[in-house]
Amino acid sequence: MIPLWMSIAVCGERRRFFRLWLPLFLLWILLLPFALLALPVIAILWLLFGRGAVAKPIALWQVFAGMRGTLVDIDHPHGSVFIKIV
Amino acid sequence: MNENRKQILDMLAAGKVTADEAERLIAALERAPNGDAGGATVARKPLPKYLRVVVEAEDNHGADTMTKVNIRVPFQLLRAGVKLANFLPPKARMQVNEVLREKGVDFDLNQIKPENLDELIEQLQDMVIDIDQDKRRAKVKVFCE
Repeated sequence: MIPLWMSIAVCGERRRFFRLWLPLFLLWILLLPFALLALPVIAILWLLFGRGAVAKPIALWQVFAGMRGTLVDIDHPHGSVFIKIV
Repeated sequence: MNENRKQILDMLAAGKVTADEAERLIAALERAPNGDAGGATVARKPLPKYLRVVVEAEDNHGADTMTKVNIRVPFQLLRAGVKLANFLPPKARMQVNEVLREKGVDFDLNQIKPENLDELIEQLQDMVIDIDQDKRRAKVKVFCE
């Protein structure tokens, strides 16, 4: 399952707070037409040169898809960082 | 010799399973209640989904200044990362190995394969590393969930 939301929060030493919600599903919707265009190209490359030719994009995609559920929460007296991918 | 064990050995003789797989199956049979497993299927625990690292450490500034770290990494991401690492040029992998060795980590990046990682994750199910240091009040916990 691909990640749909990403939340980033950073708090500095002077307790300046910065929080960002990234709706990744909007990004996927925007990229969908490009993905549909790329699919035949990938299929042709696969058929002509084998799996090795498209292995790198597939591995990269798996990295993006595997990010769902990642949580990084670091709380230090001088600042904190919070990253959550859902 | 019970029926299940005989069946596994027959499968090994027929070349349907490797020696390692047969050994694991027999070990699973022995772990099963009454040692006879009752049926053909062996109940397995679901694989953990995340690797968690939780650190709580006291800062140098005093007792009320604690540093807390809570990290959750999906195993899916680790698997994908290992696959991606296979595309690193051999020269780069050698350099990484050298740097790791310099830092005291004797580890060969070439040895990590996705299939080895699955086996590793299977073995990590029951792993809990719990470090509790009294002097600096630091707690480190590494576990799978």
